[in-house]
Amino acid sequence: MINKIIYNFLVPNFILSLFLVFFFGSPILINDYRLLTIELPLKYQLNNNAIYFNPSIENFSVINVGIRKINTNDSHVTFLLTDEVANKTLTLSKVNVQGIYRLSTYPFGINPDFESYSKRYKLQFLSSKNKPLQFEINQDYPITGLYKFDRSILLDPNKALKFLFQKFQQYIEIAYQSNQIFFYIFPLLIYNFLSLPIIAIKKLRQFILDFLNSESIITSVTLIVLLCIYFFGLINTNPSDVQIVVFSTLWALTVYFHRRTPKASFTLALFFVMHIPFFKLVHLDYASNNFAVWTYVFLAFGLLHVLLDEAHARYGLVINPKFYPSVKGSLLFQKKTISKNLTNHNIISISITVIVIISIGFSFLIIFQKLRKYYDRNLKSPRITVVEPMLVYHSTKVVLYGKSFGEKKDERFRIMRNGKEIRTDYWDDSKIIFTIPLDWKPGEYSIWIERPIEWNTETIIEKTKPQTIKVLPITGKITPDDDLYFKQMDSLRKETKEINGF
Amino acid sequence: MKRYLKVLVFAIISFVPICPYFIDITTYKHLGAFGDLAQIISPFEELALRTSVYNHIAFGGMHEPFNLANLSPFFILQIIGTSLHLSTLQTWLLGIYLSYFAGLLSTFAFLNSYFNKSQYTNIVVSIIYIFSPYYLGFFHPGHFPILLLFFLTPYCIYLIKKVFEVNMSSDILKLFFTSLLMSASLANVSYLLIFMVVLNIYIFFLYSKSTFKRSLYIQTVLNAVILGANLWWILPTLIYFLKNAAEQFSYSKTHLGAVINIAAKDLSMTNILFNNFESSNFLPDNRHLTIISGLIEYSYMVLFTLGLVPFVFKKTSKLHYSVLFILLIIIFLLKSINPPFADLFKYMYEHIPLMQIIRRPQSKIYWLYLFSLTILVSYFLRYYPKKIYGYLLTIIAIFYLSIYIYSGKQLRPFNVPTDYQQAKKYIEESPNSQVLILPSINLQLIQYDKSLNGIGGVDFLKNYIRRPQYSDDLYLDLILNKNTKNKVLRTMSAIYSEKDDKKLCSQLSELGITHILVRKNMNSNIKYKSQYLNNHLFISQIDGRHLQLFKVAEQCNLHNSNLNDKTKINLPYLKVVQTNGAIINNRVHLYQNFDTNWKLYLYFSSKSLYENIKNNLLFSNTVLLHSRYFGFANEWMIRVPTNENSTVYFIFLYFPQLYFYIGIILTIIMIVILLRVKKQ
Repeated sequence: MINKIIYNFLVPNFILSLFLVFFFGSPILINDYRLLTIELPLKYQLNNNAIYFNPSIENFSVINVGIRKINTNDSHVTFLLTDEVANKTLTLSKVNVQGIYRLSTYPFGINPDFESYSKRYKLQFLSSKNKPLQFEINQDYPITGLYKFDRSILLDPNKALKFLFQKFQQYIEIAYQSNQIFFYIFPLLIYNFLSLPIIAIKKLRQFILDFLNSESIITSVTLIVLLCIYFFGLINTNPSDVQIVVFSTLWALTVYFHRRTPKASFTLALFFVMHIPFFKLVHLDYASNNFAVWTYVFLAFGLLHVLLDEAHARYGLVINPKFYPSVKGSLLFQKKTISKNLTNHNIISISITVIVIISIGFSFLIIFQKLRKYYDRNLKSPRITVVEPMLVYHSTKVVLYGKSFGEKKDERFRIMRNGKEIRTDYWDDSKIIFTIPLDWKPGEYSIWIERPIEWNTETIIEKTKPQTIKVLPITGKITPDDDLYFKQMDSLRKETKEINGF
Repeated sequence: MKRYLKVLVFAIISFVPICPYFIDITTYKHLGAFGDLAQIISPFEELALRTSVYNHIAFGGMHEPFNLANLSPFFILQIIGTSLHLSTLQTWLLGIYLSYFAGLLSTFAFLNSYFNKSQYTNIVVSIIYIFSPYYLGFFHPGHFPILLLFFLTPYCIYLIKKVFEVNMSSDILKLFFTSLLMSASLANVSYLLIFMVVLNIYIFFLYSKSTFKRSLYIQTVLNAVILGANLWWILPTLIYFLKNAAEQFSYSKTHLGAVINIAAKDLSMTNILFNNFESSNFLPDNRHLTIISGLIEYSYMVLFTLGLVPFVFKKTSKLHYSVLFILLIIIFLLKSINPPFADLFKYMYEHIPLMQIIRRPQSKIYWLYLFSLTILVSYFLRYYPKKIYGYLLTIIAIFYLSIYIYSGKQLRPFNVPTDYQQAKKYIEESPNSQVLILPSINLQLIQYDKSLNGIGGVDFLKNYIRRPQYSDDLYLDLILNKNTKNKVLRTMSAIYSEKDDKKLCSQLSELGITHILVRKNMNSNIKYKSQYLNNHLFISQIDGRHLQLFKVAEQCNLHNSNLNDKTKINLPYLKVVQTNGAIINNRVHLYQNFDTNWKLYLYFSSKSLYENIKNNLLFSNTVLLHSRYFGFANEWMIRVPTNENSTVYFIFLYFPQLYFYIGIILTIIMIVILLRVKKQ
């Protein structure tokens, strides 16, 4: 069961996020690109001046503007700043600016939550002469000096957690700004790994809500799910885990869509446990056991719901995922919300952290084990590296070089030609010799080696990849194939030549 | 006044578990069981054995540091009882009475600290927890001292809460002595781990009550106090465990750990929720079995439903949810291989280290389920303090008390027959005696017939006849020295089948067997086959109703031939043998299982003490090599000056015994520190 969940859900999810990051950047980065497609009228000419932002401004949040080149005809650029920055004066040097305009809305469909802490600004260029070629961020910007290490924080978990989070943030910032993709890709991977299913559920919910667009339909769906659980409990003598997972997922979705409180699950647990005495009276043991199981599942659901609600109330992160227009933006948001809510530290915060860490560690472990098994098996399975010669006449001796052929102990070690066994002259772990029999008709044949291997306490017959050899007809005339035969003689190993009497 | 009334009520109710034994107080002397409960026959005689980390008697000697833990409290109580001229049965009953009394008080103290609205309901809920029919199962299959863990944990939790709130050093001292009392129940590694985990989880819950720094400090102190109180037996045990960790783990995986499929067969979800398993073990009469087990089940259904009600109808607190959280985790572990999510459990069981300690989940963690349920019921009573619920719970409590009386004698009183006394006297009088116990029972648990009231499990003979002995009961399968096991089994089969006297003789002499004791009072299909022992090699000495004792002929007795002089001291862990005159042979044998922990020191009376110490400890040039003898025993090669004509003492010392003494010293130091801190 656990394997099924891991292999069918977690691992593909992880691999998907891996691909996404490598090919498209992260979801965060995708949004970045979207943000950067700023519409600009092409009017002015450029010169080589650049804009410098004043490094003394703290929490300076513009990242992507600096990377982008400005077209020669741009009249203005827009960028994002946090409120904190905007309240201070933004000094621009070596450029004449017409003015900075605050724009309150976003034309790009960014999550409105972002608005709450930052604004989009428009920078109008005065004339073509003074327009910069490029925005530059001062690389000396003292990020590392932002957070000072204080030993006392280690004794306070609130502070320690905060500190760790800040370090993580800092790490991504530095890596991102220095364009070292290798260093920030893994934190991003983790972020994506966690956020993808949540995003998917959110989208699904939206989709279903749009599709149904009616609360009453959802109510009836809830009822149907419950009736299914009830009747399966009555009928099914041997319930499987899959059933439980399916029905409990349905129940979870109905709870989520219908915005039920945890009490709904607790009520159901009570409802189910009340049935058990009656089943006991009529000796329906399997039904009473089914209902006990569902009591347990509903209790667990209710409790999980309580935990998630608590987490939501504290952090607002777990059940309401958000798209953020930039790495820094998202981090700033997280920093704000977490540091605001992280004042009270308790068992729930610890358990959520532990669950997240364990799930990540677990998926890494599974992948590692899979890889290890794969390499282990690869090590044992036979592999042909060289077949010599590839073009053969009848009674030519063909030598197969490779590894892990094993010793020919029994009939299960064999060479196959199009599914039939070939008689061998010699067999050792790295070399097999056989003679082309006279009854083979000229033409192409694929040959492969089969051998049993002990793997995972089972014996499996492992095959190599098929190799093609071509049997040439003896015609009396010299055909192009015969030419090729003699050509290949030059490249043959000395051993092969000796075996064939050259 | 009211306070004493509660105590009086508890004092009266605690008589319930020992009620069925009142009629036996004068007729029987000892108390046994069927299971792991090692019977105490004569405490003063067993003192040396009980205070030793090494059991030199069973199966050629084995390291048994867990045995030490049984000293407290029951063995010490037995010592006190014997000094007061009470029989062991009477002392045991006193012990059971005191355990239940302490359990009721501890649960009441815990409940009162959290739910102090109605004392009456607290009393009733305490009775429901302490007199749960589940605990009757611990009377039957041994494990009896473990009950103290279940009974005293609420008190420990109560003390920890007090330490967090008030920080009284007297509470820390109380916690120290409580955990000292519980050492017998913590002797099993799994219980110790579970106990520590439970307490530490509870401490984590209390972190919000204080600053982090202070909480961490208190947690460290509390853990140190609990472990310190048990250090005297944990120290030798831990060293032994660490030395043999690999063996222990592999053994656990292949033997006990592998039986979870059988052990957890009955633990379906309904049976867990409503305590419906093992009732057939403690209910005596099959006629009423279904009715009473059904009633137990329904009573738990009521308790469980009551526990759930506040979650649905009331706004509950975080602590309430935490209890539910723990309850659900415990149920998941309890149901183990049963649906739902059996595969998940199996995966965890096989891959997570130390998960195998719950190889018999019902005996390891079911009490936690009952305890959480008790708390949930108390929550219910807090939200719904109506009298009707009080009455309902009172009925359940009375029902549980009545089950205790109805189920009768789970522990079995017995007297040692006179044959046994004769045999004991005979064996103890003959020098260098070692006993082989027949008939062969094929690695099963032994069980005696009615002459010993059907006791069994751990054989009382091991402590009774205080001479090395071999038998092939279940515990032979548990010893790590496989050579000994094979040798014993081979010798037993040789007695039944071998016709060649010379071969039989060599088999017997390799183990050093001088006597063969045949039990006639086994309660099984294994019958006494005397015809096999009609051999001239075996000379019958005692032929009683319950046993027959044979002496092995002198020609087969090659044992200890080179050291047959006076044994000056003979303790389980220390043997001092005195030899006079020159030593011809340069090899010395010790007929105990080969163990590198056995050390040999030579003491020459002609030399000074300093020279002897220097000789043994600094430049050990007399004792050369320690190796296996006959594949299982100890052999030392020694070099003694040929002109040495003085008296030589051979000192065999089992070294880990010293850890026990170090542990005792550390525990005493801890007591002194705690007392001083209290004074200040």
